[in-house]
Amino acid sequence: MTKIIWATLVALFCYLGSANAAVQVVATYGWIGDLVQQIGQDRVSVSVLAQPSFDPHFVPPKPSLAVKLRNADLLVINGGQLEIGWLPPVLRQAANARIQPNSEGFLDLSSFVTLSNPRPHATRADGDVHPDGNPHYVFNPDNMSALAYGVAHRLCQLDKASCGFYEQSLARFDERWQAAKIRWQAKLAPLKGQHLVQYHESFDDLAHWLGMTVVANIEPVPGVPPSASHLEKLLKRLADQQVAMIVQEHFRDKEATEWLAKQRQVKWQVLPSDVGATEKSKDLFSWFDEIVDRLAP
Amino acid sequence: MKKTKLSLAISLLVAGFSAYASDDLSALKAQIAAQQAQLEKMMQQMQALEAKAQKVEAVVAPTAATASSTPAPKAASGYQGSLDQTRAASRRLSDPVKVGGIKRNPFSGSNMNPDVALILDGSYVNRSQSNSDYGALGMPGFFHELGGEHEGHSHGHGFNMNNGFNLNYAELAFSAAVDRYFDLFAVIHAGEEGAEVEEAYANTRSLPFNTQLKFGKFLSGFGRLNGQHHHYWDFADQPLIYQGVFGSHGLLEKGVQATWLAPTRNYLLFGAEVLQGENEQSFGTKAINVQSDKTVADKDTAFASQVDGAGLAVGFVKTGFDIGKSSWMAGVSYGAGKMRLDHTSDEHPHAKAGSVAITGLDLTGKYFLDATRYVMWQSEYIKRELTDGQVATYPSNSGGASDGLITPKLSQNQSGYYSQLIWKFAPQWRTGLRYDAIDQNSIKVAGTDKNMPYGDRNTVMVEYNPTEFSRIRLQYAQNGAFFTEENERKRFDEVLLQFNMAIGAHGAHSF
Repeated sequence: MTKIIWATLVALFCYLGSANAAVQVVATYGWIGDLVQQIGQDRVSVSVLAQPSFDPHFVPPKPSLAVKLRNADLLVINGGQLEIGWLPPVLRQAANARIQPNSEGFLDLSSFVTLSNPRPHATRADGDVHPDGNPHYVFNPDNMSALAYGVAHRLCQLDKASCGFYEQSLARFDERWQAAKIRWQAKLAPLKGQHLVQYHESFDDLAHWLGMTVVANIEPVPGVPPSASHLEKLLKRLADQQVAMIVQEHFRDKEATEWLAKQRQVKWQVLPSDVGATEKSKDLFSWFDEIVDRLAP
Repeated sequence: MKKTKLSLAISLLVAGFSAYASDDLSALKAQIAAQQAQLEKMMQQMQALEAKAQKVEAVVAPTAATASSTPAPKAASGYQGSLDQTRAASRRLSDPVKVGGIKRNPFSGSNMNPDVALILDGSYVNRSQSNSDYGALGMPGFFHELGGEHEGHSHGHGFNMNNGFNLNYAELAFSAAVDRYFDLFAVIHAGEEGAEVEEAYANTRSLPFNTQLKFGKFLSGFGRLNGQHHHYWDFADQPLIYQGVFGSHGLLEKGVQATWLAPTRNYLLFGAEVLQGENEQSFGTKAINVQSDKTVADKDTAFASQVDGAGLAVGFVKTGFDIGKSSWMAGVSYGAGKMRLDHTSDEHPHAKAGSVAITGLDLTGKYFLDATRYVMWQSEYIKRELTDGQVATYPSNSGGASDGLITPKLSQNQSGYYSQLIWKFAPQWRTGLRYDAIDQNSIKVAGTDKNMPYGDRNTVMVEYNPTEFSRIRLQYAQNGAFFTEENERKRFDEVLLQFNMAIGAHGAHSF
């Protein structure tokens, strides 16, 4: 009887998919997953933990995440403490020694870029700040080459037979990315020098890349939604400021942004904060295409 | 001009010297030549090393050229840079410049300090019962006197005991890697009257095949709620069945736990625990001397059969899977050990002993409405069976004297459940409903059912979470599950305002 129960259990849950030789990669966010896919192509099998339509700070921990991590050869994270609120317990529960921090199977992409605005002396009274700096560095397209290189480097370490392959696809990817960057920059050139209001500090690096100035965040401090009185104050504070547009991520409530935009009679836009967040954002290129389209004057 | 003077002086000196000791000179020359050869060798070695380093770099950076738009890594100039700095600093040795000055205490290990968090829980309570009346209530067949004290433990350890303000605890939580093999976690539970080690356990980091070992004192993996800390619960208090079977701290024991995450498509975790079994409400390790004169040792009674060593075994299977926008978790748990309930020093002395088996079933479903909103339904059913038991009672109420002591056979069959619905309806707001009940309370003494009463409770709560580090919760309960010593039901209402905050490095919570 017990045997039958066991057999049924195992049959019920058994992984029928064929095991392949590809490097099993788990990425915390959609954009990381696509970057790994672009470099590794058919030599990697990628799964993504966070649902791209959700807030990257608060990914709901689920048993299915531990399952994805369980057999991974490589875990690639955004870093900069963006995952601190949800990844550590899931990673522990996956009990996979290969992908623990400081092992070869753990890659923190933030180590390849310089994070803007580090705040080593911040306290929680300053909101949900990341002491190492702004973790939303992916919004600066200039960072992508270094990130792609970091991924290719690590894939080569784990799968030495394919180093040449990764090298080639890295070169191809970078060539495409540089070309796309020129295209995007040309399209958004008129925004240079203009003022931007953002909901959360997500777009600091994007603004910097475009030569825009962020004059205000709608959140009183990072991670805390604005109250009505805070919005009134913000409106007053912005009274003598030029504002070209207001942007926010797709997963946030839109009332505050909409209200402020209406008061100021300026354009507001919802930007997809990850690959896969919207239908159009299928990969890194189409994701930035969409961001650029939405920002374009 | 100066140079010529200098060279002249040197040549004169050398000439004089050579005339003086031409033998020594040849020896010196040989020495210099040898040194030069050595230097050249070192240079060659350095060049070889450099070439090797470049080669490695070329391997790891096959497309350094294409990645040229990225800033050059600092490490490339690091060695040369620090060398230059040292040279600059030590141009004149007599300069009061600290070469290689101490930047920080070289023997300080403060980098290795563990993550430390302090969690505070307090409440304001308004109950339609006086503190003394409330403290005298109990759940027949499970516990009596919420506020009472027995040998070695007190039920009064519970939370939110008093009308007005309560400080439930200020809990210190520590965690860090011990080394590459173990992580260590500890929770020091401090109340107003003292502190105790609530949890302190090590977890393996690098066992193969998705297995983990835990040892120390920890919350058992039994059921769903048991493994979670109080500050993570969805209501300010425990469900009735948890309070009845495990007490206010849950099943918290010393022992070892092994878990294995099976290689299946869905989450499937198997766990086994060997625990000491000291839980005051369902287990115990000490033999009970029910005879007051302490000369009669009746080896045949259930009270005397001592459990020296670990007496509780727990096993559980947990699974989890996603269906569309929902995530489900289910578990089956089982624990078996020996009950040793020693209340022989009480006002109404009594004792219970026997074999206990506890079974738990849990099911949780979470449906994500959008990025910030969800609905969660969580339910658990727990059954406790006591067999081969004996109860000791002293009908003469003679304060523990063995006059009239009877030890009839005892069997118990008790169960209860809770079902709760939580709705996170705004980024900082949640509300919830809970129904919990005891649904079976069969206690047979010498084969006769004592017809013990039991009850249920309705609870609603709404909470405001300014951030993930603070929570203010308002909870209202209609309690019909507590009884007086005379087994008379005392219905009462309870309004509770709970404050819970955490500072420091407090790790994220799991599913």
